[in-house]
Amino acid sequence: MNIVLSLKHEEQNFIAACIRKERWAQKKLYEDSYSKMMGVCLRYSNNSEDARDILHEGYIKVFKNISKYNPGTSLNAWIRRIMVNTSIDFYRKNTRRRTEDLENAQQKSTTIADADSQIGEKEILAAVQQLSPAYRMVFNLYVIEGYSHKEVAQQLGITESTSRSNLVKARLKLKEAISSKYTEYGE
Amino acid sequence: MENNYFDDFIKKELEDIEVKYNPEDWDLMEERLEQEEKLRERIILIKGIEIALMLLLVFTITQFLPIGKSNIPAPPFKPNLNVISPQSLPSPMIEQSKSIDKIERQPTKVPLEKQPKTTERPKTIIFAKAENTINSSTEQNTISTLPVQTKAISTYSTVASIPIQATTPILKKEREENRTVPIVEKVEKIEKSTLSELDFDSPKVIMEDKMIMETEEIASVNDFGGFEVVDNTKRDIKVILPKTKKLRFGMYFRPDANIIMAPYKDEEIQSYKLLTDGYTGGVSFGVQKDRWEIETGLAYSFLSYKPKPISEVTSSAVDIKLQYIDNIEYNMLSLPVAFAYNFATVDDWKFYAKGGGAMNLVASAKVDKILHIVGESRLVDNVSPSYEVGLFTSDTQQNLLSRFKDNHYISANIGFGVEKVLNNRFGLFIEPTYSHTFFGAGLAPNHDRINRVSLNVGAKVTL
Repeated sequence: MNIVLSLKHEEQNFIAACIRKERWAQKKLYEDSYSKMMGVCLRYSNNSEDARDILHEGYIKVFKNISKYNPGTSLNAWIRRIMVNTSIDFYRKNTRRRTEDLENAQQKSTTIADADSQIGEKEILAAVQQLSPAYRMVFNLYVIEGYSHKEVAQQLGITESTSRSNLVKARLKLKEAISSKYTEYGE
Repeated sequence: MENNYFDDFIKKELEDIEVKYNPEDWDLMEERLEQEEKLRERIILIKGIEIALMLLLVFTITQFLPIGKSNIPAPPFKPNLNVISPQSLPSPMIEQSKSIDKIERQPTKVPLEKQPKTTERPKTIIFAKAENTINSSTEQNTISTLPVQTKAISTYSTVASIPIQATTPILKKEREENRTVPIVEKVEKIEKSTLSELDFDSPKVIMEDKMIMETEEIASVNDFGGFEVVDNTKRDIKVILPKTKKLRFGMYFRPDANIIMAPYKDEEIQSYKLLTDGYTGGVSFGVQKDRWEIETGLAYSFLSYKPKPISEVTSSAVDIKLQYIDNIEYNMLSLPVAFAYNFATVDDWKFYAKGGGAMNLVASAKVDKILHIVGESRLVDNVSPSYEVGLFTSDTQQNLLSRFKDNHYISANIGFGVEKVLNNRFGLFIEPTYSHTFFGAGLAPNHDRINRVSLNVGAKVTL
């Protein structure tokens, strides 16, 4: 009990320091949550540069709004939510600029994939990153975050039927990519 | 079903994916945070300037609004108005003006229904030199029907109409009766309360403010701040300088060269000086009377500097700690009070000397500290905690800026300035100033004192 109280007290002090914009506290928060949040951002982008942009944009929002965080709830979950929303904003912003057909867009390779490693999270992540932005967003929001098609449609500004259609196509492409990886390693 | 299995598989693999921490990413993040903070400060500054400009604009528009403007068409002549400074008039003019011939004028009738209905007072102060000649009686008659609230008071005829405006209360009843009123007749009504410097036979229109103010019903004439008399025979003019107080509003911006003295009084450490730049923006309010002006206002200043690293070394059995200040940023508010004396005027240029003092208050300070911990008990080798202190937050451990006496200092300012008079309301000025700190223990843990050389550039408007 004492340990819980002590930890809570420590977190409150830490959050208070973040509110005061004390750099050491910001750095600690960044360091503590970096690994998980970078993973989230990588899922929503197709390369590590974009992922870092999303991550940093997200942390700017975190530091700006840290006073709105409700102590006692999960800080990581709160930050993750901000990261997902920032990823959606990033997608919307880039969608406006994109002129090419999303379905036929060139698939860019990722820097994360490591050909020597076993099929695992990195390869799956690479496969997700190779999806077109529209497919990737729908897949992430629906499958990983657990949004409904209605919510996905609202977030991305598309229709529900487009969301369903994109999800089906995303699954197909992911299955193809993962199958080819298995085949590659099998040989 | 197959889809569900696939989705679960992907979710399990990706939901909690973690990436190894990259310290270089924090450097980028920190850089971005600093950019954001600077951007925020700039936005605040820009918004402040915008608000000040808007206020200035509103003041200006308010002053130029044609309140009570006449609907009567402009007179059929165009007086050539040359705005002149009263001080620039050579004294022989005054002598000449005393010899101006009598101006014979017959009482002329003003159709009152054409006069403006408003009783608003004219607000334009104009020192004018009129060069037009009005010879024919036809023209004079036309002029005599000029609206009372003519802005440009440039001719004798127009001047003569001013008292009509001034005596509006008297005319009210007559207007109701739709009668016409002879101008000169009304002018003569105010002659009783005037001091004549120029002795026109009739009418006498030069008045000193002091006397005008004694009669309430003609007090509106004083709104002109005095007016001139111009003979209509191409002769010289006489300008009476009104001895009224003027309220002046100004805005300025200045680049600062800050001379930091640190530490100014610590006997153990040799004091050193460093030079750093900064900037200041502010507004001023002043009251001008004759050649003197007293001025106050509010200013915001920003400066940032890297003090000479003076390490605090503490040690325990296992650790050695080295701590020093890496960078200090100050956001400061100043409340200046100054006296200015206008010692010379050449054409449209006014030269003045200025001196005064200012109360300077640190609204917020950001202190970057470097802490090196070398020892067995700690893995941390280099930590850079940074914190902000000021009016609302303070570093209680260092007792830094936690009390008012640590937050402020008093400075004496001296300088001189040149003002370009654009017209009777607006002026632009440039003002080199030196500010020297007195009293106070000095700011920050190093007890720094700040002296400043500045170049004020700004604009002033007479309200």
